[in-house]
Amino acid sequence: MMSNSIMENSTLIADEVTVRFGGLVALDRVSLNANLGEVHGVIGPNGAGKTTLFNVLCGFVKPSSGKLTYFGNEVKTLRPEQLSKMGVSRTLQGLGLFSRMTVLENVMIGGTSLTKVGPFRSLLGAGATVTEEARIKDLALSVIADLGLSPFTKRLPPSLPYAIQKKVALARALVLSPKFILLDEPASGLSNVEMDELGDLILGLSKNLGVLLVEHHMDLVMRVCSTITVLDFGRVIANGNPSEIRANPIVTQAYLGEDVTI
Amino acid sequence: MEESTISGESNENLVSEIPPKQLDQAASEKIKLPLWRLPLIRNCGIGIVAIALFFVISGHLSLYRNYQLAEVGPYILALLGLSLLVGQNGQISIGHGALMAIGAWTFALFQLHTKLPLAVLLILATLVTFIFGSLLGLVAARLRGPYLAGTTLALALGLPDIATRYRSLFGGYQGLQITQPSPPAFLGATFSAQQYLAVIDMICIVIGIIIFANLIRSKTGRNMRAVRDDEIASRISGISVQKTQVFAFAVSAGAAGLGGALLALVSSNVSPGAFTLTLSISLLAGMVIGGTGTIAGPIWGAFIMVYVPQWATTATEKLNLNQGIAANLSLGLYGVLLIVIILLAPMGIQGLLRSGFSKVVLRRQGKLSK
Repeated sequence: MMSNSIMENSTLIADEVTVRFGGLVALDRVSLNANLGEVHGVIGPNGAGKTTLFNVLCGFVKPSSGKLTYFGNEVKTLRPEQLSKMGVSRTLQGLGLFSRMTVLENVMIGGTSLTKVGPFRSLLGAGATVTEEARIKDLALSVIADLGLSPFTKRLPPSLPYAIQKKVALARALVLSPKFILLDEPASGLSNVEMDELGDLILGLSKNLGVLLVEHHMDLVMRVCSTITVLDFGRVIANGNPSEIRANPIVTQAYLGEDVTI
Repeated sequence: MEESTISGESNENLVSEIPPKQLDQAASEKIKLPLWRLPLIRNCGIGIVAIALFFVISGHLSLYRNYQLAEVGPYILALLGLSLLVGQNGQISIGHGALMAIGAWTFALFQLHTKLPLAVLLILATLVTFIFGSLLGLVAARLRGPYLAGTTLALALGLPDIATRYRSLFGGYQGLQITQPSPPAFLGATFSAQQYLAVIDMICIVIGIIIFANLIRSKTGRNMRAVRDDEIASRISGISVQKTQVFAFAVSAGAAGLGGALLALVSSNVSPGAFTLTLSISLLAGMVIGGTGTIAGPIWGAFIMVYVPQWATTATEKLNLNQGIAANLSLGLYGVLLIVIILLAPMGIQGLLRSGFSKVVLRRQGKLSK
């Protein structure tokens, strides 16, 4: 068990992480420190390495060098499915939903590692299969209800509006009650009203867990984030709270161009 | 402004908190279902009734009809396996004929060299093919689409030739003879061997369908479908894609192996000629025609696989053509029928029945105007 003192300072830390794809340095000694209870934004121009950083944090990409620490444990070598069980959850750019499965099934997939019923017992349909299924279903339904998705439980994702589908993807990432959730461009394709709603939702989430946010919509980022890390060409060029980032001339120059103010 | 929003004090109504979900272990243990709703009990109940019904019905059929029914059984099992693999897990196999061959030879060899009872022989055939399937699944999990199709195609082409290469063990072109079991005495003297075969088939099919139904309604089945739809999204949701694919392949192979063993039993012989590439391809056709990934689809598919070529042959025989033309015409007729069925029912026969049924229900409820 983890001691309380570690739990209090619990963080998801990337320390001097470097990722190389052949000759290309996608991330160059990037460090990031995400805390529970806050929204940490990651911004930067296209190709800056934001999604690569997310891929490192959730285990899809193994860093060439550097350390990845989660609750004080080194997790660099863990696979995405293992990290997901430990409480690092994420959404994908776009949707990443299972298009031929209902909304309920999609969300239930998020809780798949909650049951220890193995595949061979599934074949027999023993009693445990039923109770465990009912348990995951209840959990999925309550997350669905929290996000206001109850009317769509039996629908297939492609038949739903884009904003609803994005919420389904979020619901799936929330079923396991993650400690950290990585949101990769959650606002893309949303209207202004929907984006405001999303902002409220993210702030609501951050009360209980750590949120990492990659996003291009500056209004949203400035509104919800308490810390922002700015990447450019795979390097961290700035790190600070929204007003510091706004005032940082390096950021405005490198990222937004000289004449633009935010 | 931002500070107040984050702390949520001044904007309590705007920012709603989403409570973390707690795993309520105690609550889940409280979920008690009535006994008949336990899948194991319910499915076994339905299965026993189905077998009993079939037992009675088959008693009223002619020897030939019983034999025909027994011929269909092996394909139902092989199609169940293939349908699970393709429909539920999104993998492809053009090698299920070869997997049937493995089951068939396992059955034959054990029957030849041991004195094990029939049920044990069938279980052994299933297990050996299951194990072979999991090895093949390890390869399959690294391959996608056309590459997987190519690999399994190679299996379908190459594997039956092993029998002719190692003649002393596998029997060469002639293959191995299988002793058909005689019905046990307690069933009475009038109980025919053909009816016995049909009933053995039926028992295997019921067990196969129960396992298939359990699987697709369980977490494992759901994970298979998730992997089918999106592998990356599956991984971030905590699913091991490789394990899921290997297991799907193994179960699918096990079903095909049992089908192969039954085919050997029904035809009282196992030889390379019975497990050609044509078998693998027509299994794929039968799967699509029946309705991929459904429980009942394999039943329709297997009947079409066995009966339509027979009907086509009978129909062309009546035209009094010379033999060469008649044989080709029956093949052509079979092909045309398949095309017509696919045109009429792109989701397979089961898909057609299902959409027809839901239309009737909707009309009853007045939700669909005529």
